[in-house]
Amino acid sequence: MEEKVDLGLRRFIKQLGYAAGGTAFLAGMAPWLTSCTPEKIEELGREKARLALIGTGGRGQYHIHNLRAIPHAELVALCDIYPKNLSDAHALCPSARTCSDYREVLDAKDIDGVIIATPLGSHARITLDALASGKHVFCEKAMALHMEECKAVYDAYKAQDKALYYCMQRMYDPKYIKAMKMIHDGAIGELVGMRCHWFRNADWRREVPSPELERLINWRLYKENSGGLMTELGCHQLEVCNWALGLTPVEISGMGDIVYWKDGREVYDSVAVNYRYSSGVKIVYESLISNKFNGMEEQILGKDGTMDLARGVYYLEEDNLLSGMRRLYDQVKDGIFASIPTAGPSWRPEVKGQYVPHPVIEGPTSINSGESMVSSDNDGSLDILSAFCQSCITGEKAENVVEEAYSSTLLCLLGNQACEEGRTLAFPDEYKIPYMKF
Amino acid sequence: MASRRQFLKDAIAATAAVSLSAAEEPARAHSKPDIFQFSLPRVMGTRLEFLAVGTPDAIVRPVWDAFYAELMELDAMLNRFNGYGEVARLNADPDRENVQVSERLSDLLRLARSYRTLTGGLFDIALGRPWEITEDGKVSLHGARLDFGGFAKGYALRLLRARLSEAGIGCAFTDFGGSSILATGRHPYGDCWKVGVTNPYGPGAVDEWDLVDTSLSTSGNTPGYDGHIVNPATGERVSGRRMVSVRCPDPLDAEVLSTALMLATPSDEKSLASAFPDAVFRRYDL
Repeated sequence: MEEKVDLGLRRFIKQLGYAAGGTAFLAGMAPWLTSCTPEKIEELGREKARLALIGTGGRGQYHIHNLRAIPHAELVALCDIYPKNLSDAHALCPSARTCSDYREVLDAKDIDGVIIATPLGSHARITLDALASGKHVFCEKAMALHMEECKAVYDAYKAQDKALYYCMQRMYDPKYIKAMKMIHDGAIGELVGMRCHWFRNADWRREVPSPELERLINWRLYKENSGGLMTELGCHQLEVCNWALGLTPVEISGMGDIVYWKDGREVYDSVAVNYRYSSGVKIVYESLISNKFNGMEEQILGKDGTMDLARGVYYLEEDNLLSGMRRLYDQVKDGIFASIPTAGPSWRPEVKGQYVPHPVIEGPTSINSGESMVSSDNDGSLDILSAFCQSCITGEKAENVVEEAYSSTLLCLLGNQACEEGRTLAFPDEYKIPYMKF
Repeated sequence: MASRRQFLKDAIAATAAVSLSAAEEPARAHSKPDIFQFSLPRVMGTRLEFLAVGTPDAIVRPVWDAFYAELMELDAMLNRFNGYGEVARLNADPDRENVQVSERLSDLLRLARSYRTLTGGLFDIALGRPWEITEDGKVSLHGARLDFGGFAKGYALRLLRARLSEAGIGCAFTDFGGSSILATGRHPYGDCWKVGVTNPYGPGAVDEWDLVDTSLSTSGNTPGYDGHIVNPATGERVSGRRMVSVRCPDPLDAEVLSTALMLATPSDEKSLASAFPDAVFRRYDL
């Protein structure tokens, strides 16, 4: 299993074009990766991060599988208030001890860090308690259920020296990192818009063995623990929009409804939310779970092209023909003789299907279909978890991860608020942090 | 960790190799010739781009203006979708017999018929039962609908070629939708016009042609437009990642031949080669 991660990291580095010692290269492109360069992994030697998993449901068990592939990780404790999940997780990791009270984990001296994969409503409380106990923390997104909780966690994080990660796996996904570098290098021109959506056709429910467990198991459907589609799905997608533009939106408006799944749930099953940046660029965000035709997409629209982040491809507005003739004109003007790429089957007026996709990364690329409630292969989740384990050993924080999670979570929560209040909201001053640019 | 270090060395070496290749110096010259450029964003279903080099604007512009007027007339007449052109009206009622058409369209139909014969039926401007035209310009489509498509582009380039020659414009490059190229003379700083054939299914060029006083036509499928080349006699469609380019002095010959070759069997190919002795073609499996 160790070889698997080693190969994955090397491939990851290769895809980014990293050369040994090139931390400046990483710092300019993805500064959070400077804490987990190959050289720093090498320095770990045989040291292992001793970890506890709090929350052993589907996502928690997915992390167990990933931890087994990380050489510098050792899972020593499992914690859950739901016995069945705890039992299932223990079967995957029999060497770990188990408990039902997370405070037992926080009090344990043989644990360096905790992984929190509990319902959203408990993220802030457990994170704050864990940081106060001197543990490094890796928490699932979103950051918290309420804005004041996000701010409290952010302030606590800045006031102490422990590492805190949120599972913003796109920040560790090579195709996203490379695509963002291309965007920032001007490959698709000035950014003019963002279109993101996540569509599924499923009720988002899990089987409940006994009625009193409904709100515990199907926590995603109830407001006491969930922000619904915005926090569960939108969080990642809004994060990449901010990442692309380097700004945080100034205004939020939206509509949310329960259109189809009228089964007693409290959260919307259909949302359409708009975010406006100060430049006028907008994110048009939509999610619903009663039709999956459009799947999951994140499109960054530039004057010269479109980056389709989820598929890892980009499209140019004027491919081949015009670029060929423009090149010829420039060549003649500058006194240059060279080949021009212009011949091919007849160019036809642009409609969506006739754009040619260019891969962001050559070779096989993992694409998230967006249908799984738990995970997607090779989407950066393993790499960010590995980076966290490394931080548990070195104590080095990862730059920007908390700030990105904070920003995108605030946008999710403001999106829900805009839907509920039916009005356009300005980004509240009290929740602005120095990292944000408007 | 030795293997990781070796990997990084390999990666750096690979990057350096790419950089050296990209840094190859193209030929350069220092004079700044007259450049006349014109683009038509929409004509005959695609775009037309024209570049003339080394001829004063005062000479090129009237030639271009005259060609432009002729092109617009042709487009109006041959457009299947405008609802008022001769071809659109003919297609609207394809079962009518012996419809009198204009002298211009009559000439074009006779020209198209000659290419149908020359290609053994592999090229036609309509599908199904062969349409007919009498010597006095009466057309019977027998239910077929005319589609001048590439034929119109090739014919337009033939007209432009004649106008450029007549005006003594010896250095020009015309790109009609990427699929039809007319290279007049040679590049002002090279011994030819060097044109890359792009791969519609991915980045990069699949081939490169040197063009001097000739034309290049490319037919094939694209990701968004597959199976559009149809055998006129059988209705069979050519699908898949295939493409063919033809270099030929006459742009209409090149246009007809590139389409016919997409449908040709090996035996057809021999017949076409003897029917178009000036043509050179290459096939691409993409």
